Parts: sequence; C-alpha cells; structure tokens
Amino acid sequence: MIEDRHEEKAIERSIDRKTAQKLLSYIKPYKMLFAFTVFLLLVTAGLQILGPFIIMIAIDQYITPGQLEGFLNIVLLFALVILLEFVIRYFQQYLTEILGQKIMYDMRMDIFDHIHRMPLSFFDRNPVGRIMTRVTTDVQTLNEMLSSGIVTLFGDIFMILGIMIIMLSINLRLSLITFSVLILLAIATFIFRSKVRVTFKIIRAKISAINSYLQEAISGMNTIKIFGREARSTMEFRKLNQDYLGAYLKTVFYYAVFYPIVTLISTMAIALIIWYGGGQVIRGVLTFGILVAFIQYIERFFHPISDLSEKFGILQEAIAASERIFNILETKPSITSPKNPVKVNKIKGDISFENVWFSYNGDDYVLKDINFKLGSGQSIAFVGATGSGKTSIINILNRFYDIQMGNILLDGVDIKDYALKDLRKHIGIVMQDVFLFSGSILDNIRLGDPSISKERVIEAAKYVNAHKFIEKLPQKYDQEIKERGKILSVGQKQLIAFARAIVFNPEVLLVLDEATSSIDSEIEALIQDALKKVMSARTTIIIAHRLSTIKNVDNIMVLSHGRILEQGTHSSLLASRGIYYKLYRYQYQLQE
Amino acid sequence: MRLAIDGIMMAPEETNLLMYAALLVGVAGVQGIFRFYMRKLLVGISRKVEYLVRTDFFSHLQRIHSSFFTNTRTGSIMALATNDLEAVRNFLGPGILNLFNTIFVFVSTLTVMFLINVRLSLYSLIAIPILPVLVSKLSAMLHTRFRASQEQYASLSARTQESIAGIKVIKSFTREEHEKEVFKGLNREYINRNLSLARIRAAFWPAMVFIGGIGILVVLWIGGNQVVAQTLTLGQFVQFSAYIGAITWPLISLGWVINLVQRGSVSMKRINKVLDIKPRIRTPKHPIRPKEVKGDIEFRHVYFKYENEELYDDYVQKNIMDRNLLAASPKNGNWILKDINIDIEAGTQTGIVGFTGSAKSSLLNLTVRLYDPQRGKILLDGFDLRTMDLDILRASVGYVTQEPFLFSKTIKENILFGCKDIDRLGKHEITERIEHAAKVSQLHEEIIEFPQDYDTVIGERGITLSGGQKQRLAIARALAKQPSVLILDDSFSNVDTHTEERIVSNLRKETRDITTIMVSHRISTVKDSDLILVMDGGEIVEMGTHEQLLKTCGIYLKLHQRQKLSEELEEEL
Ligand SMILES: Nc1ncnc2c1ncn2[C@@H]1O[C@H](COP(=O)(O)OP(=O)(O)OP(=O)(O)O)[C@@H](O)[C@H]1O
Ligand SMILES: Nc1ncnc2c1ncn2[C@@H]1O[C@H](COP(=O)(O)OP(=O)(O)OP(=O)(O)O)[C@@H](O)[C@H]1O
Ligand SMILES: [Mg+2]
Ligand SMILES: [Mg+2]
Repeated sequence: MIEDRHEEKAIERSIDRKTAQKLLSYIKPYKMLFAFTVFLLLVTAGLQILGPFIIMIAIDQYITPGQLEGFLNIVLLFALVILLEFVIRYFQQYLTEILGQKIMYDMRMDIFDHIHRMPLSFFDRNPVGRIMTRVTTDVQTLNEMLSSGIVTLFGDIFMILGIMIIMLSINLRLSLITFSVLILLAIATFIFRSKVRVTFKIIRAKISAINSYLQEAISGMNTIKIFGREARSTMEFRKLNQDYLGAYLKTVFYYAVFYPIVTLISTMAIALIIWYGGGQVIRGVLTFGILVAFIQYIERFFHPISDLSEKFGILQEAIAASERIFNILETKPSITSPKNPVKVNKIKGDISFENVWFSYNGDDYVLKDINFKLGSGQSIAFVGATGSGKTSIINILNRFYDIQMGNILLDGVDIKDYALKDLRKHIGIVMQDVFLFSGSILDNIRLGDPSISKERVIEAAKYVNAHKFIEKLPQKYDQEIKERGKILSVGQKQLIAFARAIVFNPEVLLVLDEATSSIDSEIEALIQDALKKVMSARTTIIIAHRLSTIKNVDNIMVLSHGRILEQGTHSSLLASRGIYYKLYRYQYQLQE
Repeated sequence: MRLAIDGIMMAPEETNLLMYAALLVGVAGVQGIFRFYMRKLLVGISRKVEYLVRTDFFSHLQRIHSSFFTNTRTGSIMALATNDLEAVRNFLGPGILNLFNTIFVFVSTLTVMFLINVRLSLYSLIAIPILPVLVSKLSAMLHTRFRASQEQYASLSARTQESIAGIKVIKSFTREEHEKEVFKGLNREYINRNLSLARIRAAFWPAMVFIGGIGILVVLWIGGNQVVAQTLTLGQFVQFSAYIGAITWPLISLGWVINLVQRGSVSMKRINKVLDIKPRIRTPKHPIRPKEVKGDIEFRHVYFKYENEELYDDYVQKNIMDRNLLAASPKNGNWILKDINIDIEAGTQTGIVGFTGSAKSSLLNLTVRLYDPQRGKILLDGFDLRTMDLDILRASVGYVTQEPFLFSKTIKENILFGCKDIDRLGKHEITERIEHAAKVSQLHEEIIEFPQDYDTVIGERGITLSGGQKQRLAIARALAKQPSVLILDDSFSNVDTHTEERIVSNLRKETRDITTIMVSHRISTVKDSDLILVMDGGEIVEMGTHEQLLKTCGIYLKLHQRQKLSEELEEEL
C-alpha cells in the first residue's frame, strides 16, 4: 500500500563528493582524536612489521650461527613488541569506537533537532515511521562505517601509499607492472559501485517503507483487529519485506562476486611478477631476494584493498543512508522565525485577520477572505459545519501553516514578525485531537517543565475537574499512563489536555478547539463556570459544536465552506434567522 | 597458491614460468568461484531468514492481545523488527561465513604444523587454553552489555516515535528544547552503553593477536633452541613460524564471530520474548461458525478489569489460585465493569449514556473481544463469544471506536478497509458500496470536492482531515463492512448537530434490521433508542426507554434537564 511517494524515490544523482564532505564535516570537531587514532593505527602497523623483522634478526644473527648468548634478549624484545602491540591496538580500537559513537551522537542530535524545526506540512506528508527511520535505523547503518570504516580507510590509504613508495624505490619496472593491474581493479570497482549504488538506495527506501508500515500497523492494531484485516496486512507487509529481500539479494550477487574478483586480480599481479620477474631472475637481471620481497609486498598491498572490498557493501549502504540523512538535513524548514523578530514585552492580545486566504495545498482555499477583529480580553466563537475551516483558523494563528494572502496581526504586528516561540508561547491551545505522552500524569500536564510546581498542576486539574479521577488512580499524579495515554478514557484524556493548557497559563490567548467534546455534560457545566473567570482576563477563541458551550462569548462567527457568513451575538444571530438559527433549531428540536 | 610459490622458489631456473603463473591464476579462479557460491549461499540464507522472521514477527504481533500494546511502546517494538533482527541476521550471514572460514583455516594450518613437528606444535599452542577462559569471560560481559545497549536503543526509538507523533503538542507549547534535552539524555546514555560495550569488544582483536604472538614467541624460543641443538632444520623452523603466523588471522576473526554471536543471541532472545507470547484472545479449537449473525447480544454477570502485562506474568504462574480468588470476591477488586447484565434484541437500537470514565468504551471493547471479561459471559445469538470463530465475530460487528484510527491510504481504501468480499464484487458494485457508505455518513459531498475525490490520500491517522471528517470516515468504514451489529462510540462528538441529525436519521433508515449500539454524551442522540443504559462507575445504574427513565428520577433525568436547561437558557437570551 505504501508506494514510494515523495522523496522515497531512489533517484540516481551523483552527490558523492558532497556526501563525503558532509561526513567529513562531522569528524572535524574531533580532529585531534581522529589524528591520534590514525597515528595509533600506524604505530600498530609499524609494530606489526617490527615483529617479523625481529624474527629475521633472530634467525640471521643467533639461530643460524648457533649463538645462544643474547638470544633471550631478542626473544624478550619480541615479547615486549607483542605486548606493546596489544596495548596500543586496544586503545586504537577503543578510541576509534569513541570517535564513531560521538559522530553518531552528533548526527542524531542534528536530525532530531532539525525535524523539530520542520513545519507541520512536513508531517502531513511523511509518515512517522519514515521520519523515525532517519533518526534511528539510518544513523545506525552509519555505525560500522563510522566506528571502524573511516579510521581503517585512512590507515589503509597510508599503508598503500607507503608500500607503493617502497616498491617504487626497489624496482621501478616491476612496480609499474604491478600497478598496471590496478587499472583492472579500478574498472571492476567502478562497475560494481554503479550497480550497487542504485540498489542500496532502493534498499534504504525499502527499509524506510517497512518501518512506516510497521509503525502505522502497530499504532492501529486495534483497528486491524476489529476489521479483521490481519491476513491482508500480513500480505501487504510480506510484499514490502519481499521487495526489501529482493533488492538485497541483488546486492548479494555483486557483493559475493566482488571480493573474489579482487583476490583474483591480486593473484594476477603476483602471476605477472612471477612470469616477468622470474624470467629476469633467470636472465640474472634481478636478484631472487627482490622477487620474493615483491611478491610479499603485493600481498601486503592488496590486503587493505581486499579488506575494503569486504566492507564494500557496508560502505555503500552507509553512503546511501547518509545521503538520505543529509537530504532531510538540507530541507529548509519553510516556517521560521524572522531574522530580527519583534521584541515582546507584554502582549495585550488584540487579534485581527485581514482578508486572509489560506490553503493547505495549491488553489483549494480552505479559508477565504477571512476578516475579523478581536479586542484584548474579548471572546469569540467559531461555529459551523464540520470541515468548514474552524481548526484551520487556529492552525494559521500560531503559524503551524503560513497563509497565502492577507495579514494576521497580533497587537497590530504581523505574526510573521514575532519569533515563533514568542508567538506560540502566548497562545494556549486545547487541541481537537488530544495527544498524551507516555509518562506520568504530572509530566503530561506540565510537559516536563520543572518550573511548574505540582501544586499548580493539581490546581489546574481541580479546575477542569480531573482531580477526582486522578486521585482514584493507583499512583495518582505519578500514574504512568502509557503511550498516548492508553489507560485513560477519551474524556479523561481530554481533561488532561485541558489542564495542560490551563497550567501553561498563557496570559493572553486561550484557544479551545472542541475542548469538551468528549466530556459528560455535568463536568462540562462545571468547566463552563470555571471558564468564565479565566475568560474575563484573556482573549479567548472557542470552537464548539455544542452551542451550549459558547453561550458566554461576546461574538459568534458562523463559518461555512471557509467563509464567514454571519457574525454577531447569540441573540442577534437568532433574530436574523440565518444559518445559526437553523443550527440552533436543530439542536433544540433534537432535544425535545 | 603457496605451493606454487614454493615451487618457484625451489626450482626457479628451469620451470616454465608462464605455466606457473597460469596455474596460480587458475587456482585463484577456482577458489574465487567457490568463495562466490559460499558467500552467495550463506548471505542469501541469512537474508531469507531475516525476511521470514520479520514476516512471522509481524503476523504474530497481530495475534497478540491488546493489552500487550498498551504496555509496550511502538518504538520499542519497531526496534525489535529492525535493529535486533539485523543483529540476528549478521550472525547468520557474515558470522557463520567467517566461522566456516576460521575453522577451515585453523584446522588445515594445524594439520600441516603437526605434520612438520608434533612437539613444537604442542608447545606453540601453549597459549590456546587461555582462549576458552577468556572467551567465556568476555562473552558473558559482552552479553549483558549488548543487552543494555539494545534496550537503550529501544528507548531511544520509542521516544523518537512519540516525539514525532506528538509534534503538534510540542510545537504549540514550544517544548522543542525540552524534548531535545530528553532526547539528548537518551542519546548520551546510548553511546555510553555502546562505549562500555566497546571497552570489552576492543579487547578481542588485540587479545587474539596477542595469543597468536605468544605462539610465535614460544616457537622462536623453543624452536630456536632446537635448531641450535640441531633437532630442527632451519627450513622447518622458518616454515613453522610462517604457519603459526597464519593462525593469528583466524583467531582475530574468531573474536569477531564471538562478538556477532553474542549480539545475535541477545537480540534473538529479545525477539523471542515477543514471539513466545501466547495470544490470549483467539479462536478456540472447535469454534462455532454461525452462517448468519442476527445480532442478539447478551451480557450475563460480566465483570472486567484491565490487566497489566507485568501482573499477567504472575497471573499465569499462579493461574488456578488467582482464578479462585477472582471467583471468590466479585464484589471487591478494582473492577472496571461490575456485574453487567444486558439483553439486546436483534435489530433494536440501544443507547448508552454515562459520565466520563464510567467504562462505556470498555464495555464495547468486550463485544468484539478486544478483551475478555474475567467473570461472566457475553453471548451473541446465544453463543458465548469465546466459543465463536473470532473472524466471524469481528466481521459481523461494525465498531466505530471513540478515537478512530485511519490509515495513510486513499479515502477509498480506508472505506473498504474491513470489506472482505471486495474481490468478488465488480468495479461498479464497489464504487456503489463506497459511495453509499459515504453518503449515509454525510461525507460524499465533501469528498468529491477534494482534489482527487475518493483517491485522495489522507495523512497518517487522517491528519489531513478535519476532526468531523475523520469521525464520519470511520462511520463510513464501519458501514461499508455491512455488519449485523453496528457500534458507535461517541462518534458524533466532533460533528455539528445539523450533520449529526442527518446521519442519525440516515442510519435509522439504513440499520432497520441491524442491531445498533450508540454511546453519546448528548441525550438528544440516544433518546429515541429502544433501550437506554445509564452507566456510572462501571455499573449500569439505570435502564429503560427515554420515557421510563425520565420517570425514574435518576441520573438520566438530571442529565436531560441540564441539557434542556442550557438550551432553554439560550432560547431566552
Ligand atoms: N493538514 C491538512 N492538509 C490538507 N487539508 C487539510 C488539512 N487539515 C484540514 N484540511 C482540510 O481543510 C478543511 C477544513 O478543515 P478544518 O480542520 O479547518 O475543519 P473544521 O471546521 O475544524 O472541522 P471539524 O468541525 O470537523 O473539526 C477540510 O476540508 C479538511 O479536509
Ligand atoms: N487499557 C486500559 N488499561 C487500564 N485502565 C484503563 C484502560 N482503558 C481504560 N481504562 C480505565 O477504565 C475506566 C473506564 O474507561 P472507559 O474508556 O471505558 O470510559 P468511558 O466511559 O468510555 O469514558 P469516556 O466517556 O471518557 O469515553 C477509566 O477509569 C480508565 O482509566
Ligand atoms: Mg476542527
Ligand atoms: Mg469512551
């Protein structure tokens, strides 16, 4: 069902260098650590070479001549070398891991932070599971590359360069012959990389699709059960899983073929040397020692290369993952605070909408030419059929979305001139769709803000009549309510969300979007009474379908299809016998 | 390959060099082909196992009872299906591949060594006994640290999931910084745990090299002395040290494999924990499969409470004792539902009203067996729900939950979500079914104004729809299923009264022979029902028709008067 919509498409673009640069920029803060680790790596490599060298001396100077004096010393020296290697290699490994983990940490923070700056429209388009994948799985994929890949890569490059220099200095001819095989290697690498690259991009897209499907299915598990969809969901999931498997199996071929080919190429180099160099040895142009040395060097030379080819798959997948990560990091949030935001001392709470036009996408205007003024301390209500655009007005007021035309002013200043924080901090909303976090009730009401005391939380809970049921819970305010507040009834959740808006106590603006829609009329009446007090001091916007909830407001706007069709007080609207009157009649008739 | 080189070294002059070179390449080629197949096979198998386990995991998830999902966070379940599964796969693929390689090289090298000199071989292996001790010690440590790391990853994943799902709240209360702080803590803890893991893991490679090095050391000392004493030729000695060096690499690789095994086993355990959960709610062995469900519903002395997963573990252990306990004390215990007795006749309409948290939704959840009651029974058409085929039961009930969950599919796919018979229907009939359901729930007009009408894709959970649109789409989805029992849990709370009135009257026409149960806070919605239940604190406190209940002078009358009062007040204004 999840087709690869939007950016899931694996488009082959050559942004290799950019990706590499970005990755390197993550290493930058740890330059010293990085350099030190590479240094240790080289030291261990040196020690590794030193070992055989000591044995050589032992053989030539002690064993062959049969001189045992001092032999113990050389053996002890060897022991020292392996001990040293042990210690240094341990630190090198550990430091490499530290480096990798630090980079992963930074990357996760960056992505997390960046996602939280994206506008809501981003979340409309991208399923939670897909966004999650970036923070979790994608970064995880980089793990191996970061924790050992980069350091080894640098170590290997030094190694290869070093060996090349040695080889060149020993014998130019033979070196050139050896290096000629490198061209083959380059061609092989090129072909495989281009083949595998695309596949790995697809793989990353597929795993992301699996994640989003899974995320959604788990969240909607009850619905799947109620609608008896288990078999079909499994089928759909299997399909996604199969696609992923298929893409992987494709890489398995390349991956499996590449490593043996690299080995084959290195053998070819040796064969070439044996054939050519051997001939020269016979003709006496070359010494036997040089030939043996060369063969050994070739083995050493190809070792890091085949090592790299072994990690080739991991590397390619990591690159594909980092491309996706950088893709998201590069997407600039479209709704941001202005460069020089207006300084906010005290907001009065004057709101005015001037010829506001708004659409979620394209030309389908959801709000058309909205005009209204709301003086500080006044209250206003929006009524209208479902889908007429009431919630959308709230969405644009706190800049969840930006409008296309017109102006929205707060205290006479365009809301776009405020820093987002300042704007939103002054608007307390009880949203239509309640969201609670896993954690205690206390933390859900104060959203983890330690500056809000428990007393204030309790006060707010009492205020919305939630205190009674909270007291009945086993752990009271410390009750863990599980993801999305699953252990509460819907009405109870709504009360918690209400308490949250009260406790954050925006001095100015209170917005209630169907805040009591799932609450019984007894509690609602109590809240109504309590609200009167709050409303007198604040500018209030109320959206409600139950007209009884809006009886206290100064002004009522009747919305229909995104336009304000009527406005006035309750009695004046009734008197004009328009839509409001009709709505009202329905409710009244239904009653009796 | 080594043989070929040896050959050249021994008789360089007259050998046909070209032949040797060709032989070398040929051997490498054969070896390469072997390697290729081995890799393809093993890595392929590991991928396939991953696929099978993941699909299995998913289909098992769907069978697990709801309370599991209450107690387990979405993000942690996802971590199992991705990160943990990957660990298992890495063990199966590269892990086993390397294990084979290691064993092969190890055994063949050792054989050659023993052929050359048994005593020296034994000496050189002097350090090997350290290996099992070291490995078992480090492995145990690795195991616990891996588990700690995986668990932390699951928390990280869960937090990320919630933070993204709740982005609207975070933004509107400007809690981004706090959210970041929390995440930072989890993130830091994760890398800390990884580093504590790394402290062990980093030891493996050097330790293995070290063990190999000791071998060389011993060979150097003892072998050297032997050469001097002329019990060993120099050539043998040189060869010997070369072979002992060759053992080091498989040792290193062994260290790596142990690492993968530990990780894989930790993760497999975590996955198995879920796979081992026995679904509590399932179709019995010999289910009753009624051909047609009329829709008679009966509750007989039903007691119910939610059980926590942790509690449940105990519960299983002392299964019988607890059952007795439950049976002994129906009156106390924190029952969510207490002694519920209802008799709903097929084709009638029942309304439920009651205070917030009075367990209305809990009652409805029992009718589709999202949970089973601890005591008493629920009957559908005279059959105990627990004896019925679960699929048939759920297929016959259209349940619109209080917070409907919509999927990020097209509107069409959402409406057809529960229709099992669409494969048999023609295109025209399907369209008709969809549009009919949408019209009854007063959604058709709005949908056709959407850019791609019924093919419009709605966001996850329906975030691109208005509150009322979501509820109506959920109603349409339940209707399209053509159920025998329709249950609406406060499904008009975000719909304006005008639209509600029209839907209710449509439904009345539509559902004449369907059993309907409707929960509402508005008396007006339920007052025409054949039977109205009033709930308070998990009990049915009043029951009857509108008129009867008004005469009872109880909660219902109070609620009614309050609502009427407010309406009249407005009238006077
Ligand atoms: N995020 C979104 N992306 C695209 N379209 C949207 C989005 N949110 C809402 N809409 C559309 O905008 C229109 C107005 O929606 P809005 O939520 O403002 O209605 P409402 O008046 O609050 O309705 P209700 O009373 O049902 O809550 C609807 O047609 C809806 O489908
Ligand atoms: N999954 C759960 N685990 C534990 N307790 C729960 C769970 N779901 C609900 N409860 C508790 O059961 C009680 C009844 O909840 P229920 O959702 O049935 O109430 P309701 O009558 O539907 O309320 P509302 O009118 O708010 O929808 C509440 O006190 C709630 O805290
Ligand atoms: Mg709305
Ligand atoms: Mg409920």
